[in-house]
Amino acid sequence: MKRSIITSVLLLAPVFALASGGGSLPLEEADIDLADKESLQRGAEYFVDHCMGCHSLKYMRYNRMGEDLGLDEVQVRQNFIFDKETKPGDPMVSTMRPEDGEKWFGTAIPDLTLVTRWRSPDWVFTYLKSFYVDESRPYGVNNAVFPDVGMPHVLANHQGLQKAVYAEAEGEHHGPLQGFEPIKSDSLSPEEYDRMVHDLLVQSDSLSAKEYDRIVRDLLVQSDSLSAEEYDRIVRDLSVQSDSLSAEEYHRMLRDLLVQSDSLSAEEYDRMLRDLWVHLLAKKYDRMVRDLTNFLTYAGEPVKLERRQLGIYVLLFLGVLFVLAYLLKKEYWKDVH
Amino acid sequence: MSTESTGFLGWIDERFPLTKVWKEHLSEYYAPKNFNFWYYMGSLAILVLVLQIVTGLWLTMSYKPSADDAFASVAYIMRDVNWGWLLRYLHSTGASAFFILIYLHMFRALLYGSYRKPRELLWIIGVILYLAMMATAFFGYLLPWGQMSYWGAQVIVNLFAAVPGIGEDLSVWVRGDYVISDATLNRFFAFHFLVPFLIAGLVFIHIVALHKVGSNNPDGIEIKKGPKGNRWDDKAPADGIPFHPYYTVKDIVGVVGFLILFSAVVFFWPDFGGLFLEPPNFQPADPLKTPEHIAPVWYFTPYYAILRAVPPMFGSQFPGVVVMFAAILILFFLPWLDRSEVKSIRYKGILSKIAIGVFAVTFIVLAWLGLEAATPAKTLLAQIFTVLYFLFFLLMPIYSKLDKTKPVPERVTKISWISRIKGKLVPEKVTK
Repeated sequence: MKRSIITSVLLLAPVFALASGGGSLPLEEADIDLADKESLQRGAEYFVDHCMGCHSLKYMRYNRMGEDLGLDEVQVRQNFIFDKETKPGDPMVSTMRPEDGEKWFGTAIPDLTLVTRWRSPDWVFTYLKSFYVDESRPYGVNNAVFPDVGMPHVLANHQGLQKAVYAEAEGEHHGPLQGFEPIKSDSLSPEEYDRMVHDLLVQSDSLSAKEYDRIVRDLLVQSDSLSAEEYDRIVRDLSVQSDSLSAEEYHRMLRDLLVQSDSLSAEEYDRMLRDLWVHLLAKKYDRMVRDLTNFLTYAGEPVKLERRQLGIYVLLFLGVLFVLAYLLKKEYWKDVH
Repeated sequence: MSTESTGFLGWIDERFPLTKVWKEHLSEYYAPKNFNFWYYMGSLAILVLVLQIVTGLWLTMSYKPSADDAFASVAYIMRDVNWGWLLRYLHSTGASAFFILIYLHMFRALLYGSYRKPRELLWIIGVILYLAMMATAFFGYLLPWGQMSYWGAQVIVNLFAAVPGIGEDLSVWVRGDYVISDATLNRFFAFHFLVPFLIAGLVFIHIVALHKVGSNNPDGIEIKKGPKGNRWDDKAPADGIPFHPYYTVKDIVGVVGFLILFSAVVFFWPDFGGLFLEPPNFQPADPLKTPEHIAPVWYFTPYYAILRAVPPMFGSQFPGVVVMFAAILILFFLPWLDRSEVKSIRYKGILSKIAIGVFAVTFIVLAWLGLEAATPAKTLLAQIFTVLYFLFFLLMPIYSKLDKTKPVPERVTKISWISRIKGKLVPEKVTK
């Protein structure tokens, strides 16, 4: 059987970024969009769900956030405020007591209202993606952007765990950090397999049967497992039905068809599926972290978009005024030789 | 002055010299007609001073000068006060703009010899103004109570501790505490509020002195000593034009042009890449956590680079402090260091031109070095440029005397900068 399908991962966008030499990882561009209200709303929800257990945004008020993100007071109350005492006009303060935080994490937990201003959006984005397994740390993870940080990887459920990849050893120590690689076990238990299929194919914003078909076809063709014609021939009958099948049903039947046709083994198929899953997880996690970064950037300066909008009017006005002022000056100075 | 005012103005004029002041300082104040781009800086500096005082006053209405509340009150101004963000950005950008304008204003004086007889006192008042500006900027920088505010102030106040003998006591006296603390913040706030009004007063004196001796100009010619008689007055200098309306309308063009650049920064780039608002200052002051790299705001960095360039001697940083203050105070002596026969760089020789060019580069390189973390190579560079900085002044009596000068025309010239670059040094039009 031709080359391993694992190589097909190469056609997917690289799961981990490689450092361009040097010791520390360069910051990845967060590529956020403050005008994207849906992204900001998702980011706000992620923040409240995952971060606010410990971190506050003590200069940000719930109602101001709601106003700027296009949420009415009812929505704010329902989705963001979880205790009866808190009013929409209150600042977004964590319920954790500062002294507890210090006790549990060994350091004062920073307020994050201005974090994108004293760090940067790119820093926050890269930081949230740079946790890796390190058994020497109290919570089992370390961070490449903020070494020995006291914070656990609270988003590990969403990202999965990853390990650090280092350059060739130099003497006793390993070389500089080059990037990360997701940790995956070689064989999946039936439950894990089902969860994976569920995550990949069933969850709301995942793939339709048709999209799934296209991706599998591309993967197999690109990895020389099958030619496009062979693939199309094998799954011809199935493709016709793709509209009426759920992605999960489609997956089962496609797998059986390919295995029966001796094009690839069930293991190879599943490995391909897992690589695809890891890749999609990473993409989803990127989006989640981007939304969070976007929201924190908004929180760092809520007035930013308004400021730029106003700036355009101010500059237009001054531009016109400049022409008038110049003409006035020219008129007055006509008689100075 | 032939016609007496009547009516309400007449009533005022009998009790206050309103018309007289208007005429003497505006409508019948004759300024040389050949001012160029560099002459916008003075009026723009006044504009920014007013802007700083007005925005500062309004910021004061919501700011809390206490170690517990200062940082939060700035966040409150940025978020909850109507237009607070604009006031704050105008004020923070205004501080940097003020220094840019004043550096250009001072460089203009260097170019055209505006510090020379009879304008020595005008120059000295200007240097005092510059010192007052530095003081108020330094006091003001502590107020946001961010990490850089705190540690920057810590570093600067510690300079006083280097004074032999009384140093420790002196620095405690300045701070009002053993470390920068609430007491320090309160007194710095008081001074930051007061000094701008002293600056406004000094600006008034600066202008009174200017109008006594008259404005210099890019040719460095005394128009008062030239031929008399112009369209407005038989006894006024022939090369002079009334400040109002000619320079008022011209300065409006400068004001609008400046506001375009200024607004672009305020509305689109208020941090200015971390130069005008430094990222560590978005973290509240933490007396227990020293930032990795402390650098003052950009307008102080040339002197900071000079301070760091001087190695400690006899286990004391004092020599560095002395050299740093000398770098500023040497400006006072400039009028007597320049021995050239001409004032303006236009008629000075190659030595002076090289000297002023090297000096401009030196100042910029020192400013950059002051922002950087010190490395052996950069410290060496700072030492070389510190020497160059002082040589510009200390060797001036020699090179300005040796330098071959060109003859100065009798009347002011009007040569566009384009033809000047093209090398056409013959005046296009010497006025009648």
